[in-house]
Amino acid sequence: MSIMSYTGGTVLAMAGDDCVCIASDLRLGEQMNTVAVDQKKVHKMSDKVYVGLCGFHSDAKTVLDKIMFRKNLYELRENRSIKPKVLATIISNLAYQHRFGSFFTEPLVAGLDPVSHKPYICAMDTIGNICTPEDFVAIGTGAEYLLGVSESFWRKGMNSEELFEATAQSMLSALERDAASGWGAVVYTITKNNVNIRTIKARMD
Amino acid sequence: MAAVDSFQNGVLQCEIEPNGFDFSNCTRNCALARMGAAPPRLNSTGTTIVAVTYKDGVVMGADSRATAGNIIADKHCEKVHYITDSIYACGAGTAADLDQVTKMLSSSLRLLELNTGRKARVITALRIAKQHLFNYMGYIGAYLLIGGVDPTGPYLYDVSANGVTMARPFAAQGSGSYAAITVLEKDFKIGMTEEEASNLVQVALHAGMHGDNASGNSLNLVVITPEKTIFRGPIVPDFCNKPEPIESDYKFKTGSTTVLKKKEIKFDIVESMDMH
Repeated sequence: MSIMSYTGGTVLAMAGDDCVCIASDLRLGEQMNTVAVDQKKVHKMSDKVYVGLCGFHSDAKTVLDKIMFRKNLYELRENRSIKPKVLATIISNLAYQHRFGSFFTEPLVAGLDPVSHKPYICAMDTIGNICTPEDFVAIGTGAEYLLGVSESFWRKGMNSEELFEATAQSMLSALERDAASGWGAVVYTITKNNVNIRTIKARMD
Repeated sequence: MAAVDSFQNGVLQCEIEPNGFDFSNCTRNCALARMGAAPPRLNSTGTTIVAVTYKDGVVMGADSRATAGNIIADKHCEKVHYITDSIYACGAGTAADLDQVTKMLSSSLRLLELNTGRKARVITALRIAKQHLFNYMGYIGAYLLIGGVDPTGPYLYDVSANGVTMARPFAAQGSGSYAAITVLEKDFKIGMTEEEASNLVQVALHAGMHGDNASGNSLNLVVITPEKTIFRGPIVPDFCNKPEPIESDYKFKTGSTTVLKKKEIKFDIVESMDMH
């Protein structure tokens, strides 16, 4: 069994019209055992920038601390809030620094540019290869299912409510078939005026 | 910044000024591998890249699919990398390695250009790349085609991950290179025109995208001449389009997902000069 699916977990991000959604499941496991049911994999970096970390949970925590440190240092040095693209580059460089002997975690960045409100989503592999599609990205144990179902649910130019529904329904579909993820999901909808954090009803088994 | 400065020579040195690779996880990861845990799947470009020299320049091209195992990780992956205004590199192999190696190449060549006040030569790009790759004994999985035009003429080089390099009139690399090279071997001629060369590159890429499942989606081209560099792409060939457009799409009514708990973070509108 791969370390990448030891603790389980899935994150999905979708881009819409001046808004992004980022969703994560809530399960933390040890192989087939569930040990926690309130573990969000999405973390706030600034008002409109969020990062998702999947894979081995203890590496995800270590990497999150390192990302926070570098992000805070950037904001202190530059005296401005971080752009999602800059954060992605920071994380990518951090991951590539550990090219030989990598952290077992895949990062995902979703957010709006603090000035232009342009949506940005990207996902990385464990050594920091950034991929930035215009539509959606997924990481974690359920990524395969999410990519398939999102291919149908995503449309161009969705508003924040449509985007929320598409993201939530994609996530729920993936959770039906991924044994390593589940126990509910949380969806963050980021728009230029607010962030909506919604815990959605899902099967609990 | 005083607090930050006091960390300079401490344990956070590598966080503040990253310098080279960090091997601190290697022991643990090797131990896990010995226990039989499968390593994580890395993004590979799984590529067809093609480059051809012609009368006075170079045409280079690549498909745009990145794969992780059998999953298409990225449909529009940029594999034609900018090095300088008149030097480009196409990459096959491990995607993260290619991004970082080409980023390193372009920044060191830009510095060289600024220090010398001349345009960088293709041979310099080649030498920096091969010395870096040879240093890491092939563990950095970057297979490059470096091409460009400098004051001494058009050049095309093939660079392997272990540091082996070759000068070539035409070349193909990546998993789709077997299909692509057959086209090049058949139709390549010395002293082609720009149009002939760019058509040949496109046909070779089509062959790679047909014959290799790890290549496809769309293609990017760059034409480098002594006067100018033209980037074209993404070009989607007919056979890469979905067979028919979707007739009905999935639209969910607002409120179809049951929300258990809701929290809203509202932003204060702050007008500030420091936003940029």
